[in-house]
Amino acid sequence: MATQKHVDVVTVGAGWTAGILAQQFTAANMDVISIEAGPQRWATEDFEHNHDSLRYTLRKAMMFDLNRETWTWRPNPNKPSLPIRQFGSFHPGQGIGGAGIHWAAQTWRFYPSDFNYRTHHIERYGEEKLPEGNMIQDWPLDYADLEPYYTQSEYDIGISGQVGNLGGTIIEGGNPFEGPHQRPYPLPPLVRSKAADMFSAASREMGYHPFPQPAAILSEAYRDISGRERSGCIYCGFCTRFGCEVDAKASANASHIPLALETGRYHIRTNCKVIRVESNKDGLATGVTYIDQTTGEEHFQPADIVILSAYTLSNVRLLLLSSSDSHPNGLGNDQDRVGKNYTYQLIGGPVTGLFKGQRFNSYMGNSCLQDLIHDFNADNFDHSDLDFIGGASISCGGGEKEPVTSTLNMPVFDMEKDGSAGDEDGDGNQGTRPRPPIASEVGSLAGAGTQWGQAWKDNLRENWDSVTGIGIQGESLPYTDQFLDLDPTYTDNMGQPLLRLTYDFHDNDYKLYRYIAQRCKEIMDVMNPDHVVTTTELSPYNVHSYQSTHCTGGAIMGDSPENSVTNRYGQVWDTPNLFVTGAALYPQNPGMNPTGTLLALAYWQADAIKNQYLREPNHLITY
Amino acid sequence: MVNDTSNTPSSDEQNQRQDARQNTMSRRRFLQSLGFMATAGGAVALGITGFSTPTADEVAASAIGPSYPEGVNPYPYVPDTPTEAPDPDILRVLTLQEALVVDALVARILPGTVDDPGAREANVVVYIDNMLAFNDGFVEATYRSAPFAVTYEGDTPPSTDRFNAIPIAADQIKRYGYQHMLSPLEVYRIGITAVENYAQSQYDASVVDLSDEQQNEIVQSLLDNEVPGFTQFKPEAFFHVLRRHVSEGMFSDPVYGGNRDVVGWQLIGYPGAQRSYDGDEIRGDAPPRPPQTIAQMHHFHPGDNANNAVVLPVSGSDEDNLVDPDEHPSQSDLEEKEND
Repeated sequence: MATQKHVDVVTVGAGWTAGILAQQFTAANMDVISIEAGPQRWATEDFEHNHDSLRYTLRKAMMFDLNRETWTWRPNPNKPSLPIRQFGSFHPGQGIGGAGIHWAAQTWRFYPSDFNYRTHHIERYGEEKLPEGNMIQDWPLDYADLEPYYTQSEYDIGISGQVGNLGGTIIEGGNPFEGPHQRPYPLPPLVRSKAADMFSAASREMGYHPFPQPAAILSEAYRDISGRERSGCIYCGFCTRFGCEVDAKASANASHIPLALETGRYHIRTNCKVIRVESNKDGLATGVTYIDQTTGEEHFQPADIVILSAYTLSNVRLLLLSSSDSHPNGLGNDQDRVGKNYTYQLIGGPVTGLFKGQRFNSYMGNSCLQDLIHDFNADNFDHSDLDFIGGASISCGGGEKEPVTSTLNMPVFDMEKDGSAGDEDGDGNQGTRPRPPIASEVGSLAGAGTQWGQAWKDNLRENWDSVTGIGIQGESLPYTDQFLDLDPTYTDNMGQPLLRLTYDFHDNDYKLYRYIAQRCKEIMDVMNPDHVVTTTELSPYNVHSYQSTHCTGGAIMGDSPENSVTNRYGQVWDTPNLFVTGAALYPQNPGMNPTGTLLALAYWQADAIKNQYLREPNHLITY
Repeated sequence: MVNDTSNTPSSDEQNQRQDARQNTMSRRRFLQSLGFMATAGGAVALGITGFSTPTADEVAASAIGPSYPEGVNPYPYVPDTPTEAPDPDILRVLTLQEALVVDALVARILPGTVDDPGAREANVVVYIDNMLAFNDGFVEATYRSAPFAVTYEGDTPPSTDRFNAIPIAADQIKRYGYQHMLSPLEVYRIGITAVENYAQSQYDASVVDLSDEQQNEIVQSLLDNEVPGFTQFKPEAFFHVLRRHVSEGMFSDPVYGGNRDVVGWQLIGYPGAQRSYDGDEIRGDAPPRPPQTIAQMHHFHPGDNANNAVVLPVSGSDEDNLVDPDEHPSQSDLEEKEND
């Protein structure tokens, strides 16, 4: 094993949070190396001809190489686990920029009540309102702590959107429920799609509060932290699962990583896979061992500070794989907390409307052309008479419709019924359909849907761009029977155990979905489609269908080693020179995309390391 | 013949099928057997106006593909976008008879005529053949290590001494996604054989020789799980695989072999690989632009890139950064020192 020269900081992965930390640390004259499992790739020359939906959307060229490493899944601790052999539920990326290259760039601040979730709900509804078996916790920081860092990240990378709460003043057209912003978003919202217009008009008529999606996609040219002016969005229609050829979609490649590289203090080793974090008899991390995948050689990279800044599931797996004499159950796991509080996201499209003759141009643009309401997200509505807690965002009008999957999943409308009648079974819905059936045991070889022949062809020809759906993104709560650990059976190509996910939807999820689906249906009815199909019930979780890459928790932050893996700065309780970044830190997952908050957290962590940790290295940061 | 509903093939056709079984038939005749009138130049007259697939020279001149260092594919586990469409005169992995069966089925799943093209006219079978030729059809990264799952009916897993298999309730296996030890190519071969045997048992003829209506009955029987001979997966699974590949072959870029003359994109009004749209167009009511393929996209140069004038990352370990073992203690030396 060859030993590389010592550095101040080594990060695992070179994605969003590693890029932010590298930029912050190199500006403070620290030497940083990132060990990145994937390749390097840069905007224009590498992404300009990638408008190939087969290669990128269906065959997932930018994602993890599942030939080498995957994850296993089981619905609960009493069932066997099997490997996720092909991509389904979520899409982690690899390569410089990480999943922050192919992300959808929907960028949020969590609500103040998301941070003190447990306390808030007990105060308002009583502890008995919390679902059975839950492991809900308050975050060890609050919205006010993070607010300056939200603002900084929004201005450093360029967020487009309409603020709804500016220093306590509610601004018309924004989200009135959000926490106060110190400053408005630096750029106006992206173009609003036709479907988003219709959704907004309908929901406003119903007394709700529609607003445009905040997006890390530039609506106009913008000079970001790098000092370079990036192009505004060209609405090409190849966004999520693609790299942006004009850098309009923010990524660490576009802003922070070039800045860090320019200092000469930052280096990235691509195609190198970290297999362990090493630790000494004092229980401190000494560096990381990695395999150079171009040669097969093993290397040791020593560092004063080790930062796990890979994907959520990779960070948790590395903690568990890095057992040593001083940490026999893995790093951060002295109190058996690693893997706990694994949460996900409740994604669905409860209702789809057909507007005969309308062309929505849904294949243009990106996912952020949508409008949303948060009237039924978080605790923005009274749950006193409801049988669940939490909520979901409700959205309509995103673009980038991709022709292969959308033709497979084309909804089948019952042309005998119109949009306002046909409630035959008295459940308030017409044209009710189950979720598209999961095809078969050949899994992702197949798509959903069974329509074929001339009827399918006519449906595609007449209706392909005349349908629009209302989607939801609901929160996900932690439970005792829902966690991550090492699989006892399956290994990666290095012979190390795969990470096992034990996860399924719970009673609260089914009730929440049932309620939100009806709200979606009511809005769609006001939008007045010719035909509508509604999915009224949530189906049990499966790893076959893509839902979201919002895997969160597993190495959560808390106020004590008894209830968490790290302190409020992502500093691992039992290994104080080891830090975790990203969504693994979340005690539970709100009804919004997680990236905006993990960007702010990276700044918060960088400040704490520079200003507090370095004064007394190898010790826990005191509050 | 595309619309030919007759169930009695001509003697010429029978001769062709005989050739097919011997796999000696040329691709040109294969196309003719599907009912295409090939022109001298190899292009197929489908009555589609306003678009033609670019020639190989045009494709080469536009230099598709990323500008990684020469010889480097950053995502080697997923086939790169082809630089030119496959030669439709060559079957790469399916036998001619297998191709004819697949073509007969996909032509029912998304039917067409010369004037209103469907899966057959779009060359979906060419797409499928080329897809199956890469790594037995594993065109996306796939974890393929044992043990594999075996399914059981009822509530209690069987006590099995079957080597290294994991029992999963039959009604739960779908939640786990792709779990088969079969490759996509094997799924096709099993499905084709079962369908052919079923056609022989029902109609005493190859599925290729049946009428549209009879072929439709076979497709519906697949969907209804009524075709025997599927022991490793259900008949409906083969239907879903075919249907998925109809969508892929019909609506992916023509460079993959299907969607010939962008007939799939024209069917749904999809403009293909465009460089950009603007807000007025997104919010407007203009009809869709004419489709454009990846090969027809031009290079563009929006300005400096992020990586100009910086030290680029090193792929793999940096030899110049190694600690000289003569000057520096090894990691084990360090640990020994700590233990002292």
